[in-house]
Amino acid sequence: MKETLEAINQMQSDGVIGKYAIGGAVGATFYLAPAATVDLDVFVMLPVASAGLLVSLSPIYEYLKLRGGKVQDEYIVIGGWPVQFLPPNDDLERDAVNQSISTAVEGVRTWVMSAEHLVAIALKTGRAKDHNRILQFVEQGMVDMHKLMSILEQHRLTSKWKQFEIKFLGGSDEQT
Amino acid sequence: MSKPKLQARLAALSFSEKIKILEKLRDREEAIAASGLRKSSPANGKAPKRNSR
Repeated sequence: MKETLEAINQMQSDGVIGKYAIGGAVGATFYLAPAATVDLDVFVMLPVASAGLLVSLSPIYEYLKLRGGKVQDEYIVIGGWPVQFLPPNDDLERDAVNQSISTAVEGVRTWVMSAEHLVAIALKTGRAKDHNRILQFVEQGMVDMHKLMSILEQHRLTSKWKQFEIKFLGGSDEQT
Repeated sequence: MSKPKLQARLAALSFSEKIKILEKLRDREEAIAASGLRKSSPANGKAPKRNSR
């Protein structure tokens, strides 16, 4: 992972990508017990992307291929980790990148999404494994519920959260 | 040790230590996949990635 993050940071220094944040299972691992995953989801701001232009990941792939990265389906393998680069899909994901938390892995600086943004994105994505992850965050007390509710309200996910509560948390509406 | 206690203990590790565990889990998954022991289920039981947007 150290080598992977060093390559991503170098790519950022070289201006290929802007701010980035780790999400998905590896991002969740910052807060929770490690759960098996085979890939690394990196949400990236693309400096040249602007309204009306198609977002292209080609500069990232070209940059990393020149430095030993190997393309494998939707991933590019760097330092042994298949990495999927994901430009933010909406305001929630953009906020998640912009408000990410600085940390380090083996001395290499990196950024991870906040627990509340990871939960909000998992709620929006809504697969079984996302629901399972949300439950882990809540049950292990890793989420600031006030902050989460604010994010959910801002991104119109409150009703989805209420449905989740009814289905998985015993229908409590104390937090809303 | 109970499962909740183990989960809490693992969650309290540093991010670097957790990443090392993730790497071991990933290597084990890959070894199992390469051995052909897991034939009927998708790799790691992962749902399809959101790569269709």
